[in-house]
Amino acid sequence: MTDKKEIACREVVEVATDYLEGELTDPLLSLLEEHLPECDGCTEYLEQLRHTVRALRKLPEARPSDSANLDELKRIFRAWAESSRSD
Amino acid sequence: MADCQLIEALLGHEEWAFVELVECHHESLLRLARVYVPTGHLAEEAVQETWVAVVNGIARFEGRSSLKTWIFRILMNRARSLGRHEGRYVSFATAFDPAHDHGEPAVDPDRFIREEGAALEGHWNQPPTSWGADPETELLNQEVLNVIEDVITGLPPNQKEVITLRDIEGWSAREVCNILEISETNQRVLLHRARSRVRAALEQYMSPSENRGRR
Repeated sequence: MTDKKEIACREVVEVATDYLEGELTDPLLSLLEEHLPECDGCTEYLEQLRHTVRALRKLPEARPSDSANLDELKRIFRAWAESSRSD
Repeated sequence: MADCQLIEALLGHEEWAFVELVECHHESLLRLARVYVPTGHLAEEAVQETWVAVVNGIARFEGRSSLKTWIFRILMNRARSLGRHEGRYVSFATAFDPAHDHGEPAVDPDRFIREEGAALEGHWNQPPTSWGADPETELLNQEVLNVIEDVITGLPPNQKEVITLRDIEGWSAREVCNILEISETNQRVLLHRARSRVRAALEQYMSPSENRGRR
């Protein structure tokens, strides 16, 4: 690894998550940072991965789950509170 | 609010503390439950059982994890149990070892130059193309959300857990490793596989003519 001079695009896509997570270390990190300015394909790939993560993060607000049946849950809580007071 | 204040209030039977916990976590619990059970109805059942277990167990909570982690662990156990009962969920906790993971590549190998010895061997043959001027808006349309949800539904369960907690729920890597009891390396490998599958499906949707049938 130490005499490795460059990183291939095929390797970039496999370390992309480590890179975005800030967990990529040298020598791969330096090789990747040298590679990216010269490679439109890998730059676009990373951009697509960033878009993917942002789209995933928006799922909860775009598709909210049913909200809690708060009355039912409060009933459960009160029953528990009542029974533990009487213990 | 700090865990200790909430716990003290719960132990004092103060309903506001319970309502605060429900409002904070209920929807996330429902989404995580769907990783293990096939229907929304069963997910609700798992979450309701979780809240019952929380109030019944709060006096015995020892604070060795955060309150949130403890609640989500209860949910995972309940939902896994319900899922097993439904034949949906198969235990895999010990099945994944990244050292022996020769899983699918993030991108179809045919999209890279494969001639051995060629100067550009391993470089893009068919590079990804731009998703347009405003992909953020495009990615929010209902059809795209369906694409994402379909991919996630089809993921192996361990990938599904990690991408749900990390990317959909926004948990930190440390929190995810903690609740799933996996190493940071495992967590990243699983996240990488899952994100790669979602990106590939989105690529097909966003640039269909150029990458049809490819990853």
